[in-house]
Amino acid sequence: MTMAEAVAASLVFLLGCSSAAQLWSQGLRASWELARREAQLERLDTLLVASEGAARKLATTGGPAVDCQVAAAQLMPVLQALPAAVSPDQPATLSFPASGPGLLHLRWETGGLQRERLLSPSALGLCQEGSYGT
Amino acid sequence: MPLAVAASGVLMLLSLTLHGMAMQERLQVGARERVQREEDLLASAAHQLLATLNASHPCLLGLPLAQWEGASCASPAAVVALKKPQVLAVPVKVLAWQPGGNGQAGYLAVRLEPAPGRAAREGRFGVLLAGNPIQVAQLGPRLLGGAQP
Repeated sequence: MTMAEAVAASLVFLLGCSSAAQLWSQGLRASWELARREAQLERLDTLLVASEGAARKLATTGGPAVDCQVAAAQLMPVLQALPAAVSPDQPATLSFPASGPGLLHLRWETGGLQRERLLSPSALGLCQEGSYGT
Repeated sequence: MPLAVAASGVLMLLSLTLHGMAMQERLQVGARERVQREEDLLASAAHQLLATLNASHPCLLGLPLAQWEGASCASPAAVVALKKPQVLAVPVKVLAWQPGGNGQAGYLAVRLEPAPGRAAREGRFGVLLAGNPIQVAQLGPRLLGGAQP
């Protein structure tokens, strides 16, 4: 092997190593980001399931309220306490955007991701006769 | 020289494989997000419809969907609006409503209408009625098996 061949082989190998390292790094970064996103989706899913479970439990233990507005107001603090109960080390925020009559609009958010659902207190057995106060 | 080319090629191949796996994973996570969004919309549609029926048209709760048109307690326009509501700004169609009898659960089937980037998707929910006048006593979680009873 001549000196020129040795230099050329080294250059090819170095270029290959460099490109591979870049691709490897991008792939690892993408995998890490996706794993984080998946964990957040999982957490939001857990909070949503827990929200509905908490509402059903409240209906069972407390019995149906006469006024659905009162039932919704009783449910809100129970839902707001869920992140601390489910996984206190990972923050998540809950908001209640405006919704139509007879509905409670839940929106869970964490790390730029969100899940939202409309809940009907009367359909969950939290109150009777679809009655809503003013 | 051939050894250097072969070694570089192997390294590149391994890196491309890792990159491809990450891309595949990205597609899966994206699909999961779409499914979760659709599940939320289906459940929200069921809650919204039953809340409206409970509050404004309880008389329709005891009638199967096919009999809503002729019901005297709701105007034709109201029935049309009930059958094709907007849920969180997404058009939804009520496919079936069958009240249960004698303490048995009935069911509600709804469909998210197709839109750009989203195929139609159906969901069915068990619903228990009770009381006099009749009211929704319990809306169950989504039943597996699509919209068919």
